[in-house]
Amino acid sequence: MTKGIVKKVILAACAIAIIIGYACYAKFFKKSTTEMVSISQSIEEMKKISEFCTANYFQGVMVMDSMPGILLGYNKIVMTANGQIRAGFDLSQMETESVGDTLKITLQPAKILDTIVNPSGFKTITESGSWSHQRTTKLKNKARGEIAKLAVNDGVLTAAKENGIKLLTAMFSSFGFDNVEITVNQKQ
Amino acid sequence: MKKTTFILALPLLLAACSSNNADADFQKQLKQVAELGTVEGKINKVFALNDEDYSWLGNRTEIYECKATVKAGIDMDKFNSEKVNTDGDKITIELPEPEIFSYNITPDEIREIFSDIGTLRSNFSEKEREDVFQAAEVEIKGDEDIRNSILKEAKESAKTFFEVLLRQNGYNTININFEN
Repeated sequence: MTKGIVKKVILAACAIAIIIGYACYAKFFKKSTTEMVSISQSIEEMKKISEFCTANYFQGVMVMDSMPGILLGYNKIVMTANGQIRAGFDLSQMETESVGDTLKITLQPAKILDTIVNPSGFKTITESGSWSHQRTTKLKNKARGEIAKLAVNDGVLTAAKENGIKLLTAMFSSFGFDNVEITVNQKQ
Repeated sequence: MKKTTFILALPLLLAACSSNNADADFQKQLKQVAELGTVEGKINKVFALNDEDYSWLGNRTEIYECKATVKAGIDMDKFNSEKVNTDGDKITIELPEPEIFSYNITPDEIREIFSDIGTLRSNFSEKEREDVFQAAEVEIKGDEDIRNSILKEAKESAKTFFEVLLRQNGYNTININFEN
C-alpha cells in the first residue's frame, strides 16, 4: 500500500520536473517564432502643407545602453541607426511681393523638416538581458538626436538654404518673373 | 613562450572578431533635392507580436499602436520649365505627377498598448520586436489604397498651392495640369 503511494508520488514528481524542465528550456534556450499579426490600418488624418525640402542628409550612428544584471555584471544593448534628415523651407511662411517684373520673396530660415529613422533603420547588434520597449525607445531617440546633430554640424541647413534659393529663383523665373530677389531671414 | 603569447593574445583576437566593423561603417551623404511637400498624412496601425509556440506554458503577446507620418508632393527636379506658357495675366503650367517623399515612424509613435506575458514565458527581446516593427513598416509602405489616397490629396493640394501663389503675384487665369 505504502509502496504504491511512494511510486505515485515519484511519478508525479517526475512529471512535474519534466514540465518545469521543459518550461525552463523553452524560456531560456529554445528560439520561438514571433510573428506580426496586423489588427487594423487606416489613415487617421490628412492636412495640407507647403514644405520645400531642398537637402537630404543620410547618416548612421551606433548607440548603446547598459544596466546592472540580476546576478552579476551588466546587461548591454548595442544598436546601429541609419537615418535621413530632410531640411528646407516652410513655404506657408513665405512672403511675396511683385513690383513690375521683379518678384521679392522673403523666407524664414531653412530648418530640419524631418528626422527619419524608421524601424528598418535600426539594427540590434548585441543584446544581453531583458530590455523594455520604453527603455529601447529612449535609446532610439538618442540615436535620432545624434543624427540630427551630425547633420547640422555637416552643414545640412546651409546646403538647404543655398539650394532652396537657387531652385526658387529658377522656378519663379520660369513663371515669367525676370528678376527674382530672395531674402532669407536670419532668425525665426 | 609561444603558447603563453597566444593565450595572452587570444582575448584581443576574439574581441577583434566579435566587433562588427561592417555595421559601424556608415555612409554619410548630403544630397540636393527639390521636394515640394503638399500633403501630410497620418497612418494608424495596430498590430500584435504573437508567439504561438509553447502556448500551453502561457501567453506571449504584446499589442502595439504605431503612427506613421507620410509626406507627399511634387518633385520639382522633374518640373520642366519649357512646359510653362504665359500670355499676359494667363499662365498654364504642367507639373509632374505627385510622389511619396517620406514615411516617418518615430520611436515615440510606436506605443505598447497591451502586454500578456505568462510567468513561464520570456519577455520579447529587442531583436524580436525589431523584426516585427520592420514587418509593420513594410505593410504600411505597401498599402496601395492609403498610398493612392495620399497621392490624390497631394495633387489637389499642389494645385491649390500654385493657384494661390500665382494669383498673389499677378496672374488671373491659371491652368494647372499634370503629366500623365
